[in-house]
Amino acid sequence: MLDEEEIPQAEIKPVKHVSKIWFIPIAALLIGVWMVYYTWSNQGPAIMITFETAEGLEINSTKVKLRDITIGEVIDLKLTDDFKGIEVTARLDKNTEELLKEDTSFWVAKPRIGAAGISGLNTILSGAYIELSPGTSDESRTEFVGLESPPVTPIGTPGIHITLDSDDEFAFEVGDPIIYKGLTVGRFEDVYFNFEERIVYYNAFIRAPYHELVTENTRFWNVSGVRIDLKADGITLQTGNVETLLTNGVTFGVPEGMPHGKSITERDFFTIYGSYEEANLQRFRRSVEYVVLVSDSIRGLNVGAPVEYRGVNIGRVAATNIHEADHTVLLQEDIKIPVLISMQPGRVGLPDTDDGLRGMVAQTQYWIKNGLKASLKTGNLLTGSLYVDLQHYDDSPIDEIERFMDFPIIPTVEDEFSQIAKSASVLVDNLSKLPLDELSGNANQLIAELTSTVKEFKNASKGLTQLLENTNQQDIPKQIQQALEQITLTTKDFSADSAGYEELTRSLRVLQATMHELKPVLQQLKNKPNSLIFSSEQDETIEPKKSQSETPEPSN
Amino acid sequence: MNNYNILSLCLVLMLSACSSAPKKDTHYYLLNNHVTGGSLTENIAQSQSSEAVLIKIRLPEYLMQPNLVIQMGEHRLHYARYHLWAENLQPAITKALVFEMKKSAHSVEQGTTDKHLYHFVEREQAFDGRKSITLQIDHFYPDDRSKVIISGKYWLTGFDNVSSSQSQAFYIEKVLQNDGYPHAVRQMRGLVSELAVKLVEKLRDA
Repeated sequence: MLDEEEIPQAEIKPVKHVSKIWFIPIAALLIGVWMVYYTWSNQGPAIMITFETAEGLEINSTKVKLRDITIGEVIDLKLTDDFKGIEVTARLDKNTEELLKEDTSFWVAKPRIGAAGISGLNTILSGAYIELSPGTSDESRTEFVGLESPPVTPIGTPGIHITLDSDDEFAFEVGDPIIYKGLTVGRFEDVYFNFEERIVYYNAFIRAPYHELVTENTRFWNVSGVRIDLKADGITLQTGNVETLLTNGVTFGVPEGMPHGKSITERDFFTIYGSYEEANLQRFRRSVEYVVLVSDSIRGLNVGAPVEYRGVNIGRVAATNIHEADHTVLLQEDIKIPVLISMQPGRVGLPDTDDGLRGMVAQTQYWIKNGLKASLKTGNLLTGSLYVDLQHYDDSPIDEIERFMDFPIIPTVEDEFSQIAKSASVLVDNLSKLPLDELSGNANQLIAELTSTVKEFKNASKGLTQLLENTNQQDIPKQIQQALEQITLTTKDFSADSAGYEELTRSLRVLQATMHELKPVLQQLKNKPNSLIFSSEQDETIEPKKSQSETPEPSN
Repeated sequence: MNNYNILSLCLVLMLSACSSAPKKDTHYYLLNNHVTGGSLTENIAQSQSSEAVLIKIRLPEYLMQPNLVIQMGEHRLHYARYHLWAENLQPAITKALVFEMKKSAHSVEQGTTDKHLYHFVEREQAFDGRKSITLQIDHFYPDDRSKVIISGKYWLTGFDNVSSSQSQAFYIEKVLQNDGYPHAVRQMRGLVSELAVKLVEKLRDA
């Protein structure tokens, strides 16, 4: 037996190498991991946009574009939880995170026809796509509410946003133009109705560089369609530009005589006035009111009618018939209709300040006490419009000015109708004093002389008519005969035996012969177009051949 | 030899190639020559007692163009490219026929005592008679059987014993003894002469 120590012991070593077959799944795993990483690292952000409908949108087909460059694709469409809209999930390209801001807007580009024109016609062939308008905010977002129509003004457009208000009806729509001297410089972006104030607010945008025209003294007024005003001044017709003839629109400007003021730098509020005149009236901030008590009709006296002092416009009619407190007074027989007028110191050259206002009040009170009176006068005979005229009359001065509803009263004189009636009565009196018998005798004599003159004129005209008829009968056939002779002479030049005809026939024959000459060339060209350069090998070999079989006849 | 010399040689060769095209002349043919044409028409004495007969000829469309025609098959015609009529065939045939009919009538008149003969006129001359012969020529060309043919119909109008609505057919052919178009034209002229003789004979019977 061998001693245990002499028995060699096997040395056990762990297997250190791995079978080479394992490299294949490991390599496949690495490639798979790399592909996943590559895809993950190269894909852009996924965003979710909510629209009202999915009209024109398709999964894996509809693109997301920015300035006509595709930057993403719709990857999912589903209804919202409340079924009131759809959620569009889109995957954007890499490095587009900077576009996704809080004010980034999305809308579906498709063919649209609106007041601002026709857009999106290219999508008829290419299909609808989602347009992205990058925002400028600092806050990033990935969920958005899509716009149902393209924004009137893309975000980032230089210019200024303003808010216009109008207590008029909903006159304007999104997209209606804001024009300046006929040029469209901005558009309405949004319409909002404040139920508490009962006022329509319009958000609008005026693009650069025209936004600098909007200053603190700027007034906006309506120029929709064609505006025809029949006022005391006559008929005025106003239009904006061609677009506003079809749609609505507003224009703006600084009232005449006012400084431009400072340009606005941030959103400001402006009122849309009905007309330029109405806007122009708003340039004076301070005014003083008086009441004029009219004893006759105020038909034709409109609010806004001018108040003139010796021809100078110093104010306007603020209200007519201001019996608000007690309506029963109108039933009284001798009621005088109160008309409220406002006079602005700025119109007469006084400063539009409290000092100017005080100066005007003092001056007017002095004039009233010393004979200033008001009357209604016809400004336009066609329309019957009235205005208030202030004149000095040599009446005895009064000590105290009466008041009506806390407004001082300017005394009135009889209106124009009364004055005309007085003048008419004076005229009738004067007419009655005229020696009518003597005048009628002279008139009879004059009429007799006129009758004889007319008879002579009638005879003379008859002779003249006869003379003209004779002249026409003699002259016209002669003229016709001359014309026919002329035509005969002209046609003779081209008759069958004439030189012109012969020349024409000869030319046509030459032309025909030339065409015959050209015919072989044309046929050759038709058969072989390159035969002009390369000689035609097709020689004519077809020709009559003599008879081989029959007995020859004697030649003729 | 430098490049310029090679270029010049090529240029000369190319130009000589252009000039080597065979020259083809166009030939023009008259149906009537100075002997058989209308110039001698007036020299043939007309009988004063004879009656004028108007000769009118109608041609098919393919004969109203200047190229000479040869029939190459049953239904195939060939227009000769370089062989053209010098004048329109319609007046040429009329002139030739009138001339031959006058000549034929004159020779007949010489040998007979019959004075009821006719003289023949074309449309160009003043004509106030009522008798006329209208010929419609349907075929008038050489063919590939080495023959020249003339065929068609004619109507006699205004003659007492002949119905004007009844047409008479004619067909005459001659054999070509020589090649080429000049001989064919000469034979075609001969066909017109034979047709004239036939017509004059017909009129004698009418």
